[in-house]
Amino acid sequence: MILKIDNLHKRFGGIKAIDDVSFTVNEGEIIAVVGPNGAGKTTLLNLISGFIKPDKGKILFKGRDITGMSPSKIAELGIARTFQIPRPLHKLPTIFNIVIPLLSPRVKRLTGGVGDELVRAIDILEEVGFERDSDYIRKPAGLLPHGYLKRIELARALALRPEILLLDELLSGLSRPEVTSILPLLTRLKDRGFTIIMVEHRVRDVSAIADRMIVLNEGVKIMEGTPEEVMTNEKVIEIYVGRRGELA
Amino acid sequence: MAKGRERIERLDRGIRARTRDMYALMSYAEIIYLIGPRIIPPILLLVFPLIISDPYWLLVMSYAAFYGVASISWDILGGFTGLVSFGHALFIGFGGYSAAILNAWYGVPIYLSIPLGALIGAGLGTLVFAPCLRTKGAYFSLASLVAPLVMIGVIYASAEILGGEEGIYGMANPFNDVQWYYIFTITLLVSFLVIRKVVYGKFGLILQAIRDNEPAVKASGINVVKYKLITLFISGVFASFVGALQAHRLAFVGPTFFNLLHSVSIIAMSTLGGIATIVGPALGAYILVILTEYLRILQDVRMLLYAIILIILLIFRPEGLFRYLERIYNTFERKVVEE
Amino acid sequence: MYEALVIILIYGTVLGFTLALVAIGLSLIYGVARIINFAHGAFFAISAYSLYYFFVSIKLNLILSIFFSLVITALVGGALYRIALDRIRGMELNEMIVTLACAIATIEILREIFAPAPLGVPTFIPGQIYIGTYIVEMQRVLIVITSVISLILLWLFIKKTKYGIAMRAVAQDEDAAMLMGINPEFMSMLAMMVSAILAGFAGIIIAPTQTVALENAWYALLNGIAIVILGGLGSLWGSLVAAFIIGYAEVAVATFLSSHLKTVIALIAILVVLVIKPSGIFGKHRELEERV
Repeated sequence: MILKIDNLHKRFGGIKAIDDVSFTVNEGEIIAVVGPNGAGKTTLLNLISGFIKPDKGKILFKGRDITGMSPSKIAELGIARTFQIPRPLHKLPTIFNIVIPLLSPRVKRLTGGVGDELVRAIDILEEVGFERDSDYIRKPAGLLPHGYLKRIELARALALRPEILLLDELLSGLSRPEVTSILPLLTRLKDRGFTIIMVEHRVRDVSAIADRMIVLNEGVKIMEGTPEEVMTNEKVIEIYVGRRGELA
Repeated sequence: MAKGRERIERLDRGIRARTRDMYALMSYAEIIYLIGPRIIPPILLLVFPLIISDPYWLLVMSYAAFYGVASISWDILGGFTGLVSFGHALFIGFGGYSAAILNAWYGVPIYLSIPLGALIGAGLGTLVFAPCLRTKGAYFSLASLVAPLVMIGVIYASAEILGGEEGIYGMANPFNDVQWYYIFTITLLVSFLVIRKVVYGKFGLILQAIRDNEPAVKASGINVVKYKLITLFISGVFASFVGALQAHRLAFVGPTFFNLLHSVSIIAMSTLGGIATIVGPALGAYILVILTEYLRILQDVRMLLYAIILIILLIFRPEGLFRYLERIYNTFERKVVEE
Repeated sequence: MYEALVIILIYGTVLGFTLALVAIGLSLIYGVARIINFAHGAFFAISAYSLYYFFVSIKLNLILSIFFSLVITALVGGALYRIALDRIRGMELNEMIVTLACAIATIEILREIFAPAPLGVPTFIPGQIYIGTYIVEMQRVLIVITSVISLILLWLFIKKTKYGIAMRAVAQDEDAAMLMGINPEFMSMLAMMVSAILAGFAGIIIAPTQTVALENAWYALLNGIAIVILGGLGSLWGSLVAAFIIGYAEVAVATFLSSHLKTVIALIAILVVLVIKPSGIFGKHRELEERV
């Protein structure tokens, strides 16, 4: 058990964004957190990554209480995240987007400060699907198409050499071919030992690679189980179909 | 293609194509093109007293260098990190007062009171602004405007401790005009080199990333507040240093050191010269100081002039003078013979 | 000691109301247009100097003088928005620098037109009343009464009128408001004018109790900034409460320590709030906004 979420609560004004959510994550797993819009998925990620503080409850990373720590401290400990709306460093070339995490204390500690950051940055970009010699690597990141921005997000998280990857709707807004090229990449990452928690809106896509799924609705954990159990659960279907029928 | 046909090419093209950290220059034109703008202005500044010995203009040029350092130090914060200070005079004042108190009251010699004054001034200023660094940039700007104005009130109120409206007199001033000119000018050149080293290295890359997108930097495992604090301190050291120099030069510090005029001048100079260019703010400082000295009528309405310059610049031309000159310079052409 | 407390209570209340008018204007324009208006203090000065011109220099009657002064201030506010801010909306940094530059330009122009020395304006109503054994000038009573009336008028404007409701819509969600046929640009300009009138009115009613001086513009701005941060940027109720906190604190400092030190309260308030609760004492929805 690498991560333990314990009775997490978070309110925004009068809205219960996260209402008593608990679950555990084992090392090397892909966990998919799914649910309709406004279910509290992104809030959950923001809570784990420290961007917002919970009102109540605990988050334990490898037995250590990380509740209320700053985002940079949590990243430093080995939980890296991506953002749903890509947040590249617009004015800096793509490659420098990846150099930034490579300059973090965590990476320096893990690598002993050896090696050229630029070289490693290109390796990581290649890993997430950039062509080694493409113009995109030198262009300001703000000019890249959406699909590549999502890859920059992933590359930035990977550059941190994390133990847990928190992926916030990595697949949203991607075309079908892009999705089919990223899914195997995630499986490869899992095989390399990363623990992945992915928040997704589209259940079908992630059910193919997830080991377990957690369903959120209006801040409450509805159920947890294997993709098959979730996909056939009536309550889940009701939530999705009742709202917009995207499961089918 | 016929051999030997002439065509026009931009002078920088050949150099750009050949260089990657290494310069492989092919002609004197290229050498001059490349190092001319880097070497001529400092030489001009250094030989200035040999050409013009009028103490009045030495004074003016020292003032320009004073504002030049302050503006460059503002640029690391405002231009590179996105922390726009509306009260950089706070550092000038803290530096000036620290050096003055050390020298005039405790007899610390001038060669110690100035650097110590700079460090203490920067430390105090950083301490005041530290609470504003966790929140978004606007709070820093708001607080930075308020802080120097408040300090003026504090000084008025504490006549016994800080000299009140009268200020503090009698600091050591062992130098003449030419020497002061060189002290200020060399300070400017050194500040420029140091700050350029800082912002164009890995540290500066992180600063630019913070300006561009703070959450992304936090998510990259980098302690943003720590970097902002360090930058604030570095910026403060330079501004406080010239504040301390000025205190000794005038053998006086008073509440005027905290004046909004300084803060606004610095912003106007940086904006005119070009934010986030390091050279630009210094250029802007020389232009505005010389301009207001040259046209004496403008002296009394300096504030108005700076304000109007700022409004016009920000509304119509956010590029800045340095970037403009750079662009013009890069279009210098030469004839090449195609092979 | 008892005496001092009564003084703090009376003068603090008067100051609190004046500051509330200033700060609510600042908060309003931030709430509607997301503009941090450094020129806000200039409105305070413009109306005070206009009042001096109409009321003292050309000896117009009081009501007309106030009316014209407010019209001028509102027009300056509108012009500031139309001419300068309209072109740079959304660029927070440029907005801040431009408004600061506008404030300086205004103040320097006032310095050129009027004498740089402080000017005096006679009281609007003579006489004084007794609260217990303490003498309070009628002018100060008038400040409290008219401030309350203007705050009520503002509340009615925001809650009941078409424009007020449209303004609130823009404040909540500019895009949604635009879809409803509201012009956010116009509403922002209107908010700027209303905010100018509020600051201007504060400048007018307080003028007779102090001198008309250029420094007052910075004093008003500095306190305005402290109050909106303390109350939470964009929260009108927060600004109202924070205005009184700052008002009482400043009078207390001026009474017990030195009047030069009263501005320290503003800085301390800002720093303490930023350390303890950056969203301000009433800024509860802040976190929702900053959600990643």
